[in-house]
Amino acid sequence: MVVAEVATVRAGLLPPPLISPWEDAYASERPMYRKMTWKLFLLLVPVLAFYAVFIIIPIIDSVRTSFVSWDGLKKAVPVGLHNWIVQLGSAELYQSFGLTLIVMVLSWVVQTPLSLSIGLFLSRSGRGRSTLSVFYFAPLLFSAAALGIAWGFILNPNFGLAQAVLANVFGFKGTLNLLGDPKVVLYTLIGIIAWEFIPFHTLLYQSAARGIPASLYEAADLDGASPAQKLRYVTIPQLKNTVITSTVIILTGSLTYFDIVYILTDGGPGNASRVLAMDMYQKAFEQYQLGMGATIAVILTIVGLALSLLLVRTTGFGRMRSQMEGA
Amino acid sequence: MKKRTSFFVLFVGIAVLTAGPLFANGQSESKSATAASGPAKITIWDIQLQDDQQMIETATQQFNQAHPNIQAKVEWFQNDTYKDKIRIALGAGNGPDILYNWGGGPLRSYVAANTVVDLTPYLNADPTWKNRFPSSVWGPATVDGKIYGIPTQGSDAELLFYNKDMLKKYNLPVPTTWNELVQDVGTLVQNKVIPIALAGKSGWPEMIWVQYLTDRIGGPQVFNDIAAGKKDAWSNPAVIKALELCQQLVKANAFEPGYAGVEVDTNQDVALVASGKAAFLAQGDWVYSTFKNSFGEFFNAGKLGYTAIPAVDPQYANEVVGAPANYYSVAATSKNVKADIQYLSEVNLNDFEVSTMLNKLGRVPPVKGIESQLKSLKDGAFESWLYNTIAKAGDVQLYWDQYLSPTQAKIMLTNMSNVFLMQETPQDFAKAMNAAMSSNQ
Amino acid sequence: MNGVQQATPVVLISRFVVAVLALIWLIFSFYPVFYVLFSSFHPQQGFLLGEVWLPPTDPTFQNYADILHAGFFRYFLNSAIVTVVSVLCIASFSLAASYVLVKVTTRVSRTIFSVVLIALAIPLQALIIPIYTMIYHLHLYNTYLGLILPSIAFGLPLTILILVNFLRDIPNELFQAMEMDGVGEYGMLAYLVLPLSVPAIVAVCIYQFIQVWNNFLFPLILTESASMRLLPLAVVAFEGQHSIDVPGVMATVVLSALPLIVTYIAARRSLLGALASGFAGGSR
Repeated sequence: MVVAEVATVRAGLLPPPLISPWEDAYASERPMYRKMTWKLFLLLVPVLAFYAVFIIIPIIDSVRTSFVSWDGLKKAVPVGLHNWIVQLGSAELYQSFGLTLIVMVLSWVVQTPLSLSIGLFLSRSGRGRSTLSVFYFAPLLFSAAALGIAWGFILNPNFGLAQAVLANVFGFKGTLNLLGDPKVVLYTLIGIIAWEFIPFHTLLYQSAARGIPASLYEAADLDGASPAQKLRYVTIPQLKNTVITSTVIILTGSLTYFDIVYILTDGGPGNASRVLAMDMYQKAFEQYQLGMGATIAVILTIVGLALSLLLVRTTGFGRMRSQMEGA
Repeated sequence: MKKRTSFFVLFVGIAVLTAGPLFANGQSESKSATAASGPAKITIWDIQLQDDQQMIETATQQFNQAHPNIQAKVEWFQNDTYKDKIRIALGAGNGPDILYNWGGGPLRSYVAANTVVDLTPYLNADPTWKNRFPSSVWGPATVDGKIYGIPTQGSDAELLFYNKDMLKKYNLPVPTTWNELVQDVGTLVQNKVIPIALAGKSGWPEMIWVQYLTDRIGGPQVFNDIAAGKKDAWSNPAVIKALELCQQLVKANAFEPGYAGVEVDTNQDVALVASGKAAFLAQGDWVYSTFKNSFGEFFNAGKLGYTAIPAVDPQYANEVVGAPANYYSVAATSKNVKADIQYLSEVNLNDFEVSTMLNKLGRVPPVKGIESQLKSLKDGAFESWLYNTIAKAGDVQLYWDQYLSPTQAKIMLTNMSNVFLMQETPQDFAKAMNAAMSSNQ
Repeated sequence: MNGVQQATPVVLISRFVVAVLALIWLIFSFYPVFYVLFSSFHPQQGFLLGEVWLPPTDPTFQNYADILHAGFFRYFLNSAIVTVVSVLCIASFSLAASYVLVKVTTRVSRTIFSVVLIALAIPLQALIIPIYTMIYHLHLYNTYLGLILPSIAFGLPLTILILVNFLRDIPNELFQAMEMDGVGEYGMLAYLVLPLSVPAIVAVCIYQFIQVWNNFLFPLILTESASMRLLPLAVVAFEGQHSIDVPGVMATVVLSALPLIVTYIAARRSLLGALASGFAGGSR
């Protein structure tokens, strides 16, 4: 079937254009609108307004706060670059940064292949699969507070399920100390965060996979492609943009992630899981050094923005071309 | 397509229609009183739950009925989140009239920022009110010789709970000295039983051991020096020795496996003792109620024992760590300080509240003259014991993490956690804390 | 994917392996949720004793009764108002903006897209105090609008990112065809973009619904009185100064998640139904 035909027929509009998806003429790069008319701009106004008021202004305020010393109560005292010098010179900051990097990279490594596989698996129709996907999606529906408590109990070295299973089913003699061992705790958290967010990325891949036109697979069949080859030459390339979207979300999300770390370990034991967002929170809301906290927040923002922009530019994501245009 | 009713226009229409009711707000209490119109409205922010909440609501209602020209309302918040909320509110000048707090470091910062009212003149003007409270409770609420908080809630002390069954099974005496405790620990480890339950993740349970040991070894003066910001006060040999003794416990496997990840709020440490997996637990007196309400089987069989933390130096054997009281302070932005004072003097820990606390809630209010009432209570044995232990001490040393400034407290807890993980030496701890003390006061 | 595969041994074994893996993932992903569920029926007494990881032997509804007596319906209503309005606004504003960002390729539009990305990299806690100050000065403290407006703002970045990814695949030809028919910019949005992007809109609505519903920081800082309380704050009402009533917390969490579960199941049908036909043709 021609790509556009179903859509236009569904929309009940015009007869389909007579172009097939495989002809070069289809891959038109001519943008739809060459310039911004005032009518189009009007559509952007709500978003811009909310951004300006609730995001841009607070960011500016945050940057300003990074140049003062403030405990939340007294009047803020300007201290120039003092906070910046202290933070950038402190080993603690780099340690937090290192921990955060580990979380970012490993989160991607764990979450992407799993979400991709499960998303593809669920994208095929079948009653069993749709019931399954309801259960798979369940972790997303619950707040971090509840899940934190639940995982805390599951991993408890004395009462928890994990310990019980390991001891009784696998005959493990020692104690499973996933949250109390500083060497291991970060990886435990990465696992739990992955558990919480894989459903979301699965949904992204699932929707995207279902959107791949059947005609592409039919064409591949005609060429005698095996399932593995179809996966490699049709499915994955078509999902390229979704992978980028998902990657941006994983990287920025793990950069700023806070909830479960706070509940399960509060940055501990010691400093073993004190990622940047945790560091920021502790400085701002536990030690009441809001200037220092703001400094870390600004660093976080700059890093996150740089990463996103880098990703978007180098992969051509920002050019807004359809992936069906023979990318 | 003649109708140009675009989606956008439709949306704008909906927005306009719904915008009206959205400006509806919750009944936000107006905190100001316009003297000309109606009763003075005062707001109190507090954190109690259930029965305590009920008690205070009832007492407040009685007050409101007796004083038609004052309307007092209490807003309830959850403990942890309250700390952030009150700070932000005070900092922005939008706080309540009366605020619950724990004294110590945070109160000092409220005073430094001029956000709370000096209550000394009001107390001095009403000696009967002031004399209701024992002299030892004012400490954490006193800054530069002036009083900024009225005591409320109960006195708390940290003590050593134990599982009577387990001590009997292994023929262990109740330890009264530190060496006896260490011996008990050794025997229990040999019998493959967890000697001491510890909720390490939460930080302050570890601190209790260090604080008590410091107090038992060097007396209260050690921490008074730290509190006063004396240079290198953290390097006091009592502190170092206390940390070394704790590390000895860790090395001897005195604590449960994975203690650094066990949390206190969900009663994971209490459960260890109640289920017969651990023998000792150093915790606050409120845990007595936890045993009673959540681990009834264990409690009702009479298996819960309690005693003071063992002594090191006999002259400091009676020292107590805990909280003499919690406090109500009056915000500087309050427009009705007179009404606030009246509320506090008439409602807080009045006869109704004291008797409810004793009889229904099983707690010891920080007021004078209740010894005889204590004996006749259901849990009379425990509460009398608690009351006498506190009275014997003369002074209750406030938890370090409560007394110190929030900055220092957090740094201290993190470093202590590292000491308990054997990742930091006591000397390094002292160095880090001395540095924190001098740079952050 | 396509027609019937031949039932060779390789295929059968791979199907078996896939089934086993799917089951393992089911247990792993669902057990903690299941734990939350059955803990909510556990009596307060002896919560950590016995076999902790199995359902309670003497289940009770007491926890639920306690919550329902404690003003649950008011919190529920508050949460519902804030969430529904926020999600509707997020979806419509984002759709409009994404449409423009995808179809207009001037430098201005690319810059705006970069600005959108900024907000993804900021933790909410970093901005909460400036937002609090702003809301207070706008006299919106302790009001519905004071909760709705920031919730909308923080729901926009991710939604726009996802919608942009989805909208870019609508072929230009469709637009050009409509343009030839004299349809203007707003008409395109209403008659072309909107119908075709229903699956994506439903997906982001589900996600944002969950986010706003469970958001804890905004109601904590931006409201004060019990009448304005939202559900996440009700959850912590069971967390006392010294200990947490875990079964109580779990019961509150379950009640709080019920609307989400219902919404998700209901929305999924239309989501998958729409996805099946899709605008790119053919189901498999």
